[in-house]
Amino acid sequence: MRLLETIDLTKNFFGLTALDKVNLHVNRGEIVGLIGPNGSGKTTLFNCATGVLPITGGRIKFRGDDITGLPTHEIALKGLSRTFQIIRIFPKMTVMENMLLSVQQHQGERILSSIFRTPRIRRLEKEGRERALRLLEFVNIDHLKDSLAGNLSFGQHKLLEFIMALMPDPEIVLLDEPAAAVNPTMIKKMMDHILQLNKEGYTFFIIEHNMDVVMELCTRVVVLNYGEKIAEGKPEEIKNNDDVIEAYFGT
Amino acid sequence: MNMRISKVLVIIAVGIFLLGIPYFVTSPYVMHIIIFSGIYIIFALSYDIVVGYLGMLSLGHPAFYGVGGYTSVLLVMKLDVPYVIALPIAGILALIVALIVGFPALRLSYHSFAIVTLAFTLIMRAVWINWVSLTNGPMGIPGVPRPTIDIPFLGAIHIETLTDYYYFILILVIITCLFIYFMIHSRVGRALLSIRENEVLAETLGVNAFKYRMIAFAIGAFFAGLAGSFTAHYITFMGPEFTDFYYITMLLIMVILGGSGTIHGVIIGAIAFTFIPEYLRITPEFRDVIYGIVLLITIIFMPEGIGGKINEIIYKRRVKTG
Repeated sequence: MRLLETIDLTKNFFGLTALDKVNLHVNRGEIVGLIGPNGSGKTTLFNCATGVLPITGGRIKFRGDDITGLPTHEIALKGLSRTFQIIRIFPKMTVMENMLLSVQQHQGERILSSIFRTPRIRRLEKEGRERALRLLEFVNIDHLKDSLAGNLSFGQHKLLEFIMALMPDPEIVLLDEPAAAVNPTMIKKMMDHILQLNKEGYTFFIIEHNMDVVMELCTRVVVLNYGEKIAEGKPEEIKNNDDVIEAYFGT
Repeated sequence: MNMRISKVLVIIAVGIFLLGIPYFVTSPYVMHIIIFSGIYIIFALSYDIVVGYLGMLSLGHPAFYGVGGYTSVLLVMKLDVPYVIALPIAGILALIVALIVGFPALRLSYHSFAIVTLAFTLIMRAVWINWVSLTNGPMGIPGVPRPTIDIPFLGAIHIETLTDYYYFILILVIITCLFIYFMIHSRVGRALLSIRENEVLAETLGVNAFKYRMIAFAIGAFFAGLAGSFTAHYITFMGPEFTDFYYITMLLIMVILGGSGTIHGVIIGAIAFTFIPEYLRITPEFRDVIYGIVLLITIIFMPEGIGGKINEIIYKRRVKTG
C-alpha cells in the first residue's frame, strides 16, 4: 500500500528548478532512503511533502488522499512526522514538555477544556506522559525528562527530536539526516532504534549521506540529482548504478 | 510538605493584606492610585498575552480598551442594560473585534502586524471622534453611571465609594490572574510558547499557529475590554482619549520593564509604573527626567524585567541550596 506518494512534484525557487517532476512513493512498512549530492533537492522534497514549502506543480498523496497545498499542521495531524537536518527542538521547555507538545494536538484540541483542565484533558496528559516516558526510556534519556531541552548534548538533542517525531504514533516518519554529525556509537544506536521500530510497524523515509547507514537500513533507495530522480531500487543495485556514480563523482 | 504550608501561609497573608488595604490606606488619593494599579494590572497582563507569550508587537491594545469602555457605557446609558451584563458584553465585543482585526493582521510578519494594529487604533479613534451622534465625539460621554450589581434574592449592590471600587477591581484582577495563569500553564500556553520559540517546528508537530495566535489575541482583547469598561464606570466618563498613544508606551513600559512573559513581573511592573509617575509629581520640573532615569536603570540592570530578575534570583537560590 502506498503511504506517501509524489506525482510529478515540481518546485521552483525564482526560476531555479529544485525539484523537477519527481515521482516517488513509500509503501507501508518500508524504510526508503533518499540520497543524492548536495543541493539535489532532498530536503526541499521533505519540505514540500510536509507543507512547509508551497509546491509549484504536481501532487502529493498520503494514504491515497491528496494533501497538496494543505497547511503543515494538518498534514502532521494526518500522521506524517518529521525531523530536521538542523535540529529543531524547544530549548526553553523541558524535555517532557517537548514530548507532550508533540502529541497534544493529535489528541484533539479543546481550548477551554484545556485551560480549565477537565478530567478528559487530565487523562490525556497522563497518557501522554506515560507514552513520553516509555519513549524516553527506549532511547535511554529518561533521566533527563525534567531538564531544559536546551541543556542537552547534541546527541541527546538528536534522540529527543527523533522520539518527538514518534510521540503521536505516526504513520510515517521522515528523518532528515539522522546520522549526520554524530559519533559512530550514536549512529549504531540510531540504526538499531530505526530497525526495531520498523519491525514494530513504523514506516521511515530517510535522507542520509552516510552510505553505510543507507545500505544497511533501507529496503529501497531513491536517488535525486539536480532535482530529478535518476535512479531507484534496492541498495545493492544503486551502489552499482552508473548514473548514480556519475552524479556523485563525475566522470 | 513544608514548602506547601509556607505557600499557603503566604497566600493567606497576601489575601489578608489585600482585603485590609481600604482599612489602613486613609488617603483617597492613594486609594485612587491603587484602583488604577488594578486596572493597569488587567490591562498589562492582557497585553502581555500578545507581546510576551505570542511574541507579537500589537499597537492595537488601547483600541480594545476603548471598545470595552464604549460598549458598556452605551449599553448601560442608551439601552438600560444592567452593568453585570454590560461588563462581559464589553469584553466579548472586544474579543469579536480582535477576531475580525486579527484574521488578516495575524497572517502578517512582525513589523507589518505592528503597523496594521497601529492603523486599527487610529481608525477606531477617528470613528469615536467623528461618530458624534453615538459617542458625543471628542467631548466624550460624561456622567457614566456607577455600576450597580444586581444579585438575585440579595438585592442590588451599588458600587459607589472608593472601597467598593477597590473590592470590585480586586475581584476582576484575581479572575484575570487566575485565568491567565491557568491558560499559560495549560496545553494552550504550551502551544503558544512553542509558536513563539519555533513556528516551523510547532506546525510540524501539528500546532495550528494561526489559530492559536487568534485565540491569544482575542483573549488579550477580552480582558482589555473588561479593563476599559471598569475604567469608564469608575471615572464616570468615556472619551476617545482612551485610545491615546500614551497608553501604548505605558503598557510597553509595564510589560517590558515588569518582565514580559512573567505574571508576577507584569503585576509588579503595572503597580510600580502606576505609582512612580504619580509620586514624581512632587518635582514637576524634574518629573520626566527622573522617570527617564528610572526606566534606564531598570532596563540596564534588569534587561529581562523585574519578573526576569526575580526568577533569576529564585533559580540561583535553588541551585545553591539544592
